[in-house]
Amino acid sequence: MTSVLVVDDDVGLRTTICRDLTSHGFVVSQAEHADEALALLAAHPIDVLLTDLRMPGADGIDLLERIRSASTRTRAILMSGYATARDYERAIECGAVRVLCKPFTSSELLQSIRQAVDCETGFRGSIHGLSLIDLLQMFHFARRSLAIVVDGLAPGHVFLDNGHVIHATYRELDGEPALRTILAMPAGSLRTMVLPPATPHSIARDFQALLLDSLRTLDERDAADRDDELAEFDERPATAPPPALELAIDRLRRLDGYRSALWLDLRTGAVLGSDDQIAGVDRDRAAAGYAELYQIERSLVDALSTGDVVEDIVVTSSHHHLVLREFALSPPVLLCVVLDRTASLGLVRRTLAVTEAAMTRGGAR
Amino acid sequence: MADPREALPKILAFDGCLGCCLVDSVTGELLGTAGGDGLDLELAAARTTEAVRSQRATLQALGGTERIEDMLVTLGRQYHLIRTLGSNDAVFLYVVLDKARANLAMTRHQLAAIERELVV
Repeated sequence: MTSVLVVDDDVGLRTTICRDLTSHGFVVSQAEHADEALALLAAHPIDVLLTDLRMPGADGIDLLERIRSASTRTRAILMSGYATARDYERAIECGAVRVLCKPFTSSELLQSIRQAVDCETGFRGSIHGLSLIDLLQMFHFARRSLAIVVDGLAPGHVFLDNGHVIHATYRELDGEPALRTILAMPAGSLRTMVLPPATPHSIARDFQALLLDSLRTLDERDAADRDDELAEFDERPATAPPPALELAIDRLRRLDGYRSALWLDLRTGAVLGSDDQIAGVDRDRAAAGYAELYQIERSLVDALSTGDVVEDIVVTSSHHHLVLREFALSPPVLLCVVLDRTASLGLVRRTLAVTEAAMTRGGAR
Repeated sequence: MADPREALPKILAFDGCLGCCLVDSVTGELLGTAGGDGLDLELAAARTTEAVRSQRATLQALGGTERIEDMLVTLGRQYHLIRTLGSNDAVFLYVVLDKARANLAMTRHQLAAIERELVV
């Protein structure tokens, strides 16, 4: 019989869940906090851990991290009424099979437990030297139905049903464009999950044709990149801003208090260029942080469903202002400007707004 | 020293203020709200907590010792202003303003004054 450990500091909810699971034939134990849960896990093997996110002391994510080494057979489900995108990401990174949003129904709970039980067999570890394409072919020939989570700059998901790729997502991309982006990742880590029951079918093509076409597209892109490298003497410097932003950045550089700027591809988070003055700072780390902040705010505005859009974001810290503004170029560019506190924020924001307006009028994309 | 029950109504009285709340940035939970009809302040608080944490992590990773004083998110029709408490870094004020009616510069000064007095 499947054993389930329920961890939640809310005694009412914990009791209700335990009663529900017991009536469905599970062997249920319960704990009020993470330390009590770890003690129980050390004493008895547990198949499925169902833990709340927010608890006094160590939270649900901490518990997930700790059971990875303490109990390799235990599969985890995180419950939360407040799980953010980052909590979700961390939970999955820590091996959670699913994040269950409160309030949930009894059938959702049972489905999650079944999903966790389905994941109960198998090895965990690292395999080097195999490409994602190799693994896709293995799953294809084994006719597996599963979801592959690929961790790169952002997590990508590839979904296979009976060995066929039916769906892929990467950031805002889905379908074949997402699959091609994921296949282009040079390295990363991956894990498999149960195929979610309501996975959409955004990819309909035959597996081999799809793979060959994706590989051909990647080869063409590599060849184009090589051509670009050969023609570098005719090109603008790699760190030059996109032409539509050149004037704006030139104006910013002349403003009092200007420190540095970097511009990045908002779809991938990749740095497209930066001012020399940013040397000495971990540019990639800064870019990843700025892109994440922008995406969080954008997703908040989407979630609020007001039909509004983010124009810009200004973060003021002890000594600096950081201004983020998206420009609808192709690819979309996030311009990140760092200023001293002496700078005129109004002037900087106006410079960027005027640039955006000029681009819109001129159709510069 | 001000208490949230006094501070939030004062902020709501700012020109163009649509709603405001006080948020625990450890849990993302609301400590108090004022106004906010038609606004999902609970959702905004939870997601903004994520944004504040993200920016703190970036500042930390870049080796700085700076603390975030405020964040301003400008939308087409609204300003969302976030101000961390000097007396308690784990708490921030979240203020939603109607862009057409609010005086942003004045609001930032007034909000900074209230924040300095606020103790949680």
